[in-house]
Amino acid sequence: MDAMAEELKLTAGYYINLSDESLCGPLMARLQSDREDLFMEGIRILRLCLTCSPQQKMRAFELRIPEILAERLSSPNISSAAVVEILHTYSGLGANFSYGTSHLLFVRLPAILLDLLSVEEVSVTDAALGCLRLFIRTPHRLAQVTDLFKERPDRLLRLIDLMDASPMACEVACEILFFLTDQLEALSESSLPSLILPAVLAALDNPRPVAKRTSLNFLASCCGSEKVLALLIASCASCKDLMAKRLLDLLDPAEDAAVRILALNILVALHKRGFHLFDDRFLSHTILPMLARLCRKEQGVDVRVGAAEILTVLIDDREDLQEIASYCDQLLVSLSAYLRLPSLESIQLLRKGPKGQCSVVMSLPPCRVRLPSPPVKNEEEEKPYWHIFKPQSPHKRRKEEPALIAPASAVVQCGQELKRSAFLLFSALASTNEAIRKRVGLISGVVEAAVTCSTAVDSRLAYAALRLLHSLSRSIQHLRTVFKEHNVWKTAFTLLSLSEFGDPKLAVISSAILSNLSIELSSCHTDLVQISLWTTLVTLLMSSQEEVVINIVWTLMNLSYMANPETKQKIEEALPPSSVGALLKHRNSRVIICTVGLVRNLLHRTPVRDAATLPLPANADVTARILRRMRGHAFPETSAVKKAPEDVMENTYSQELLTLLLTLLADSADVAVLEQCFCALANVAVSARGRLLLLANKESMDLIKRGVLHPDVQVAVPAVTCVRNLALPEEDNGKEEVCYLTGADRIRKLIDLSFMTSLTRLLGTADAQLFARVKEVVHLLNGSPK
Amino acid sequence: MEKKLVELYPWVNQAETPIPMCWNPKDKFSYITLTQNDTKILYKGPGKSQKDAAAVRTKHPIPVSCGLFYFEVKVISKGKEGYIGVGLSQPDVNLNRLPGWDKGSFGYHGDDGHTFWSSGTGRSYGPTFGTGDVIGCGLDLVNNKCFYTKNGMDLGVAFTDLTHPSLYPCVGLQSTGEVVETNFGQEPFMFDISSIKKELEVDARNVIAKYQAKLSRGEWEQTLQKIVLDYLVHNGFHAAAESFSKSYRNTTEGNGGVHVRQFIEMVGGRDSGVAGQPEGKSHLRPSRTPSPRDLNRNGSTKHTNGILKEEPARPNGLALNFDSEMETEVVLEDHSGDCVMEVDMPVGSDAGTHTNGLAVAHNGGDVTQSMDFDDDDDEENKVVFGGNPELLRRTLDFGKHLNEFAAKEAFSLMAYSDPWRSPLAHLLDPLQREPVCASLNSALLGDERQTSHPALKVLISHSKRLFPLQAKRGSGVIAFRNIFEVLRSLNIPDSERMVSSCSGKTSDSESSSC
Repeated sequence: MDAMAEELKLTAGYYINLSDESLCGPLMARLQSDREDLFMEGIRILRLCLTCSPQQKMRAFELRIPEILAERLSSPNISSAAVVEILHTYSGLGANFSYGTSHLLFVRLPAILLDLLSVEEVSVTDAALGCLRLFIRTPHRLAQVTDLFKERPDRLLRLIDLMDASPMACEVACEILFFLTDQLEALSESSLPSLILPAVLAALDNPRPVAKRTSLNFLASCCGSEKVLALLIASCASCKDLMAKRLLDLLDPAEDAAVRILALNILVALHKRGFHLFDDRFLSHTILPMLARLCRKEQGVDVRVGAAEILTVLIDDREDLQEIASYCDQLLVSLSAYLRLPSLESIQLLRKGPKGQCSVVMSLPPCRVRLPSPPVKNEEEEKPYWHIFKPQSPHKRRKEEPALIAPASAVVQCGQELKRSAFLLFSALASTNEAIRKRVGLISGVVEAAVTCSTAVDSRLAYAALRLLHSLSRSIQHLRTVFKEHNVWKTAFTLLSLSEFGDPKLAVISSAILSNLSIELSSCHTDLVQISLWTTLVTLLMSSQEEVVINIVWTLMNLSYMANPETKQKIEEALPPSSVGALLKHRNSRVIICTVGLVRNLLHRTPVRDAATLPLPANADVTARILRRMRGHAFPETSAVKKAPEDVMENTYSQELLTLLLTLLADSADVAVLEQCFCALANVAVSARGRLLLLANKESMDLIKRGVLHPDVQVAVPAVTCVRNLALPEEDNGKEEVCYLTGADRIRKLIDLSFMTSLTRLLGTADAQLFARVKEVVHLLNGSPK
Repeated sequence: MEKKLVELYPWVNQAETPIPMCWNPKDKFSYITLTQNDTKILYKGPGKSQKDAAAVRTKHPIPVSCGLFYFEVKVISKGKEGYIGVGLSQPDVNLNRLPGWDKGSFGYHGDDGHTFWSSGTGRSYGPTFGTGDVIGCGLDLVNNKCFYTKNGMDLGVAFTDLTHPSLYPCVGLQSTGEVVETNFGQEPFMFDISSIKKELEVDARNVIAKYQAKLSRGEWEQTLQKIVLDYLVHNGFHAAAESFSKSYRNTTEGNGGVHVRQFIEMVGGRDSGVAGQPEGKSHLRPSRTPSPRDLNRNGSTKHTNGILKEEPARPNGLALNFDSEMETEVVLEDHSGDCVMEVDMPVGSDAGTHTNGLAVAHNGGDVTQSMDFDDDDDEENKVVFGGNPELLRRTLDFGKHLNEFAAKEAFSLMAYSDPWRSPLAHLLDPLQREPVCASLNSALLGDERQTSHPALKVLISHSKRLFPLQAKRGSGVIAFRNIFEVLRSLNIPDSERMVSSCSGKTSDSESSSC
């Protein structure tokens, strides 16, 4: 048949409706014909009429065309041209048609395709790989392909061989390898690992950006598994230098920004994994500045997001890099620009504008999702794509993202992604260095944006915002004004109150923020106490998340530290001894330690607010007035406070706490717990009633003696302090004890209980603090001056 | 030293726009002392207040053709207070001040890490710096931005919109004991400027790519097509020109296509290369009308086994057509920077050169009196004029209008029955053939098109002439993308000459041509 005429037929008139049986018959006849020319004519017409028509494709399946083609494919006399046509037709049948992809499995197409890879002709292998890609890119069908490779690893060998042959082979091979990363470890005995890395590195030199991206995706995937990475690098010793060179080449500014981001991601991931392709200076003076430059506002949204995410990983746990990054290329300024994109509300407002146009969209970077799209792994294998992005995995995000987002939602999504990545990077920057924390906290709009976004519907964004607030809350003393201005504690508390309905991660981080905020003794503290948070906090103590419980107990401990009697009373009301007892039996030792800390604070003697009782400087009227004013500010007087008993141990609640403490002391062997317990007992021993209770109870005195002789100085010091408090002749405020045992009685009692002997033994200690404390107590017991 | 500078700033013509390499002893405040070849600065003032501040500028401003200028200042001693400012300054700024405090100066100060720009109030920028720190200051002349580095770390953009043509590096000191040392490129920098240079190369490319011609899209493309076609016609690539013309038929009809035919008819009497040849065989025929270069020393075209070999299309081949300089004059219009070029058409020096007037037969053998213009048929040449009086008339008419001296002389050869024995025989010298033929070619084409040089050549010449102007007043883009670089990338020797002359390394005559 004349080629021209054939072309005319195909393009001009031979689009047939497969539902039309009168036209369909001749087509089927051609497809089943033994004559090659007729078959070719038929299949070309078929390909044409399948284009972009799900109905036609469905009809083709009904007509069992895939089976007919499979049969033809198995024929020994089939020409290469016909094979290529058939494979292209299969690709057409499955393209954008999930039914088609799944139905093609019935003809065992993946296996056929893999067998065809052994053919020498590039046109055939390319067509087979193109068809194979259909299955790879359908998450639910991916396993069908990977299983075939697992069955026969030699197929992988062939695939790697093909990588040199064509760009298509290169891309598909890298995509398949990406999904088989986990399996590579099992192949350590074969020669395969030694072949993979050179082939993939060669692909990095491919001029096609897609080939580069797929191979970079595979390498990134390998970085997720230390063993696989080690295997690949060990199997090809010379590859390390080559890899360094290839990755370095990809950092060139002339390269596609998405490729640069992927290369930087791998370099950072390798470094974090301990595979140092470059020295530390290269990391700090080349990689870091490059990433900082990619955070500039002139870059695309995806590049900025990617760069910020990689930087977050890079500087994590590296205080030196955090400091460099904080000044590098005005990173803080660049990041603050991330927060300026319009919010959802502003978009909605714009939409309601007179012309109904969203002008913001025009001024934004392109909304097309240009991120290097990695192959999507199977739903069941929830392995992140960029493993190193700890806070979240973009894998899931990308899976859900459409190829092109509608403008308004794209703006919002771009804005949210930018904000999220900025919050995470700000948080990493401010995680350790107090000076950086202060600089970040004082950047205009940062705390405000974090507070706003912490209540966002998108939990990933909310989490990132809370992480930043958490980092900043570590320096609450420097940022109290900003925090108060934006009511950070209210936000944290509200989120905490609602935590049972939301993301558990948000509860943990909110409670951590609250815990940090509760350290502050000034206005933040007062505000926290004033909002009735006690019930909520106590409820949260029952949380199934240990981190939340720890943070809440910590918060209570902080709130009770140097608290006025009113606050203590509130805590006592909200937290009955039974609850304290339950916490002291918690499975997590940190909860126990924090609870003992809380008990210790609660048993601490209430500060005296009566100015007359405070030691005042001699003839200093002005000073006295100032002191009174300051104390009045710190502890506002209330009627309840005035009536509060001065001796905390007169309180039944306190006595019950003492019992719990003694029980814990008898049972626990944890040094940290014991230390806290003896500190609490030392507080008890300050009170006259407490002294009486302790000295009257032989078991408690035995426990104290055991503490004094504890081999760990950490325990011995508070235990000795406890003895010292018991032996002190009079109160700090100079009031003589009248109701209880006198000082001499108590000393006599202590000597009777052989504390002197125990203490004398401790005089040989090497620890200076313990020695000083022991010496003081020995002097007290001897009745001599200090 | 010279080599290092050329490496750093390859497109700077040091003779015209010297690179700042040291501080100017005549442009400093009296409290400052310079040592070590004027690169080390010592503060010798009272250092009690702001009134005791002192600054120094370099001898020369930063040339635009640097593209990226960078220098580093090492703080040997931060003195009592560490009031050290590093930056840039215009020539008329008071030197009794730290850089940045006054209008026209820009500075980064060590005591507070702030940047200052025409104000005594700084803006938070970077870390503070003191003894042992190396502070770098870079001027990006592509984007007109200034950035700083500290100990090799880029601190980011400090100032933007720095468009003043004369910015000098500047350092200011204020307190007792302050000493700094400067590296203008004599030693390797602590900061790796190659990374910034690479980025600027990309930026420069983007600046060019984003250039919007004041033409509609179609007009712009047509113009480019015309330039290409014009070049092909001028150089006798008639088959290529026809082919190109066909592919852009809609836009070129009546322009290039006509020229091709006219050109060929005028020279050969008929369009032998196109009309008389079936298309399928064109690859066996020469694809271009023989240019003077195709003539061998005997005056005949190159033949190998009877078939004229087609020259491979390679950059070097193209380059050979650009080697003669045109005299172009660039006239500035007002102060907008837009230029208008007047082109004077005589072909460059080679074309106008005369020998002693004696014809020399290099091969010593018989010399044919006719020149082969056609590819393979000598017979056709014999009847060029004799057989066609109309053509002769047209040719003579054409000769009357020749302006170029060389072309006139060459045309006069036709008057002699034996041109080899004529007073103008020297024009037939193989060495003279190329310029003469080029001149005639230009005249032939110029008669039809009002210009005797291909537009591409004019553009290249124009660009070359513009270069020094841009180097003084234009954008830093020329440091990364310019005509010489393009020609060099095409292995055109001419560019090498220009490069070296621009770097001030060649003779005066060459420099002046730049």
